[in-house]
Amino acid sequence: MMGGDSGTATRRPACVLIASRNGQGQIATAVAQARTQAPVFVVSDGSTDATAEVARAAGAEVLELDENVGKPAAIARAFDHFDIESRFETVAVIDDDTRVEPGFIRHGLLSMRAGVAIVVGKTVSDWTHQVRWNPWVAARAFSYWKYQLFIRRGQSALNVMTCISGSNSLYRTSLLAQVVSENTPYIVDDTYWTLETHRRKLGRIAYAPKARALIQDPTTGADWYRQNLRWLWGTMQGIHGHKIGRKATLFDITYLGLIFDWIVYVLALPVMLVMTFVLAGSPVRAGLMYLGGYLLWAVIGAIALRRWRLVLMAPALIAVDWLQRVNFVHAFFKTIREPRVERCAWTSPKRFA
Amino acid sequence: MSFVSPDPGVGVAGVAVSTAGSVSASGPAVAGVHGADVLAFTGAGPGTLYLAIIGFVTLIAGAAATFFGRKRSAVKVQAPVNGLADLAPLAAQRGT
Repeated sequence: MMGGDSGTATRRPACVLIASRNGQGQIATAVAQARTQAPVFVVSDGSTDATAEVARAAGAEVLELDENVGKPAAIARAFDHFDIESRFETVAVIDDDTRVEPGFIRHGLLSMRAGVAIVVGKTVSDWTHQVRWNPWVAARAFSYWKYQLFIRRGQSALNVMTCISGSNSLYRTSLLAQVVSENTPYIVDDTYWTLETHRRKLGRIAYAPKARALIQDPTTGADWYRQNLRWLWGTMQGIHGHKIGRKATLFDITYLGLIFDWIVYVLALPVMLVMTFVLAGSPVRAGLMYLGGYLLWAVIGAIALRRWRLVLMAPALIAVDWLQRVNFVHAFFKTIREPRVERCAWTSPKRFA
Repeated sequence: MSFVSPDPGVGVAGVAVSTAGSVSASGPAVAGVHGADVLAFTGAGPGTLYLAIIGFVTLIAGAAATFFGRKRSAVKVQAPVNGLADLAPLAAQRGT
């Protein structure tokens, strides 16, 4: 049980914490956007470039670590170094390529009602003109939209959120003090924080769609695959490590439902599709229906995202979708081989701005 | 030639199960291209029929909650739950 929010009268509402390794190209923008809403702290995680200087010049307080310790360990050290728990009610942990939109902190706080421990902001793909025809960015933009609309809202209503946004979430400092660790056992730090929050009943996790943040997505197939693999591997490590599905709680039951959906997605649908093509007697019609389905989704997504080119990129969605199935299987076997990590550190995809 | 059961059976995400217990993806009355129809309109990414149903239900629930709960929850400061105070009033402070 958590200790509660003592000393609320003396603490400021919120601050922003960014861990960055060699992020000199994008850290200034991230700090500048966030600084208009709250004080910003940056921890440079063994950077060999000018990350610290650039962040300082943009208005952040900076902690420089000599060695690369990985994001969760860097966050933990900065959390202590800047004495964040005793100074602030909440802390937004964002990435060095995150651009929070105006009102991000305000909307996050509005959703930090009694009993809520984490508010998850809305993730929006930074689909700029520079990458307007990039299929990896388009696929990510589409999947963020779909995931947040169809899954995250429902999970938030039921307090069964399985995944938060490591790049744009707001935490009570009293919560983060309990879950942040230098020895995060999974390759995705926020997966561990999420599951610990549920396991220890530290508070609700709520979704605030009005707290929007733009993030940069991978622009190459290799980067996309590596990042997706890490996310899925971390998710499956969490399922294994936290023994998901072995208790009769609403969280476990709904998570099992999600796992069932993944199995249908990865295995059953391809089998059904092949059988349909082979046995239906009208493979052309079946193929057109298959393409038409994606096109319909792309049209809906294009309207919702106000990105007309998504319609033209519907075939890319199909290709990425099949690659994602491979990704799922790869992550599954990787989890069997490595159910835990000794060191939670990774290399981020190349940034484009 | 295919046998058409008088009982339509059950279909989930394109998989049709007849009352006799067999699973089929072919035959016009059971699954066949009809199965592809379902696949086509639900198979884009993780978020298949199951999720579409959940999403639809939660959208309605969300709309209802917004409609019925907006005024009351917006003005009232909630009592702490599990030791966690309502921080929504802090959103009005300058600089946030």
